[in-house]
Amino acid sequence: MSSNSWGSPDLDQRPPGMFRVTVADWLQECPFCGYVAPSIDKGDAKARSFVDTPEFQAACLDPLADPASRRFLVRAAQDAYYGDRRSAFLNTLCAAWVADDDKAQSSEALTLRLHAAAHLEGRPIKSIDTRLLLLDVLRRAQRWEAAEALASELTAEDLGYPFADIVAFHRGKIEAGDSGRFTIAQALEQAETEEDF
Amino acid sequence: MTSFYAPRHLEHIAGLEKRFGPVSDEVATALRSLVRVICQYEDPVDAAPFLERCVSIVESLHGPRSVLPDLDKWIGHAGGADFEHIEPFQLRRLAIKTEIYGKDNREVAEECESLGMGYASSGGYAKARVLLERSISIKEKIHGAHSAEVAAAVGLLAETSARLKKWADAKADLERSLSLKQKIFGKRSEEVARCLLATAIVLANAGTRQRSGSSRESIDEAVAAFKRGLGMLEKRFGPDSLEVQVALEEMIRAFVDCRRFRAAEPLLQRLLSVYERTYGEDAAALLWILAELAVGYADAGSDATEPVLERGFELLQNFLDARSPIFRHEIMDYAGNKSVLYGEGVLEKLVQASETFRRNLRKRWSASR
Repeated sequence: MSSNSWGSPDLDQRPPGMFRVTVADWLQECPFCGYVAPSIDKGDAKARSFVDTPEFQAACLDPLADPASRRFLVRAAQDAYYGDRRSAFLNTLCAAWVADDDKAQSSEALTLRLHAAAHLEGRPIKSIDTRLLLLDVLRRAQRWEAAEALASELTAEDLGYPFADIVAFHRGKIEAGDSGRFTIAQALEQAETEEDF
Repeated sequence: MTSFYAPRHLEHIAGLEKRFGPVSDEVATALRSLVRVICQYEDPVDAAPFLERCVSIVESLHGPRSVLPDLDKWIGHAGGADFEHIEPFQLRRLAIKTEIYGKDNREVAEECESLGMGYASSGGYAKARVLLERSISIKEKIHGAHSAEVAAAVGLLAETSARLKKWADAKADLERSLSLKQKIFGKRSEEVARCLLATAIVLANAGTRQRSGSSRESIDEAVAAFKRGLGMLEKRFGPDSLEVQVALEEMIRAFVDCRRFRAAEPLLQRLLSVYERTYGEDAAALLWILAELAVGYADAGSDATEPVLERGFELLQNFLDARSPIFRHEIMDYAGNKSVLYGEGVLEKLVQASETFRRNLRKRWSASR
């Protein structure tokens, strides 16, 4: 599997380069029990107990056609089961990336982004990193109000470079109702251009 | 001469010398009194010249054996002094004991050990090793090669070479100790378990001085030895026992000192779970583990850094809010007490990890990498 990731990542940190297209291979699935992990030979007691839960069964029976998306959702279900909200969010976002690559599944990608965001609901998030990811997820899922509220919150914190420039870029796109994919480089370039102007 | 008592005693001794002769019991007794007074109220090292004179007189009058009580007393008093001051008297005591008891005697073996430890304390590894080996060889003759006494003496040799960071020797000594202990105490005994744990720490340290290939091999060997030793302790004392906690902590500290976070990480996670069960999930005793994890994760640019850091700072805040926060160098007996800070430099480590994390985060959200 190539790990070449030259270029700029997307605003949701999806890597660039050849590594980008290997997303479907980031998780392995046990053909016998359905256990999912980056390396299924490195399971632990937690993983063993999760495969016996109804949450695992539900995630395995998800009607999604794409096996790679489903693997990420099973993993997200395990994270959520053990209270790791950020990992559940990230794995669901990865499932959305798989759907992004299949043009026929664009509505699926949007739904998965909504699912990803739902993992972070309920408790305030302190992490700048997680909130920046969430901001992109909300914008691309066209949750304009929620995205704008989060962008305002981040703007008020006076985060400095490069975070403030990225938030400003998002605010522009939210205002324009643009739910497209952009890279970090594009966001920072725009900020530089505006500064020069 | 810095002694306050010496001048007046020496005047008195000069009188005794005139009256009874310089080599007399009276002079020896007066010198012994002076030595005792100095040892009691001043620095025992200042008594060394008077002791020297005293034992010379006693030896010439009554033979070498009669000198031993004077030497024993003074060496006992001077225990905290630099070894260079004690060395000549201890060498003399060894020579006397060898002459009196014969070279293969228990007393001689003990003296060799004591001298060996003295040399080790002052960094004289070569001399220490010769004496400790001599003690082992005497004990082998007295107790037999496969005896608990010999095992203890070999253990002491291994401990000494490890303490003085002679890793290659320490590894060989521990192998010798392990094989002995397996024969004497049984392959799954506590002695064997502790020897395996000591071996693991030595292997981890030895790995830092080797080239990358051999170093990795050494770390793998350390991990395997530790796993075996810990497994035995777990069976004997239970998986969350203090013995297991101490073993995990010692191994973690060795890996962290050798900058082997990858090897330390699973042990830190394991100890964190044990601590959570023992001291509570919001106990300050967990902080040092979280700080080590945060530093390691931050250095590796891992996603796990932030949640660990957040939890660390949260716990630190709780600790600072505690009514009567306390700091302890030992954690035993504090189960359930959430206000005990254990482990030094926790704040510094958390801040250091936080800085590295912020640097990594800025890099992550910049266009080029």
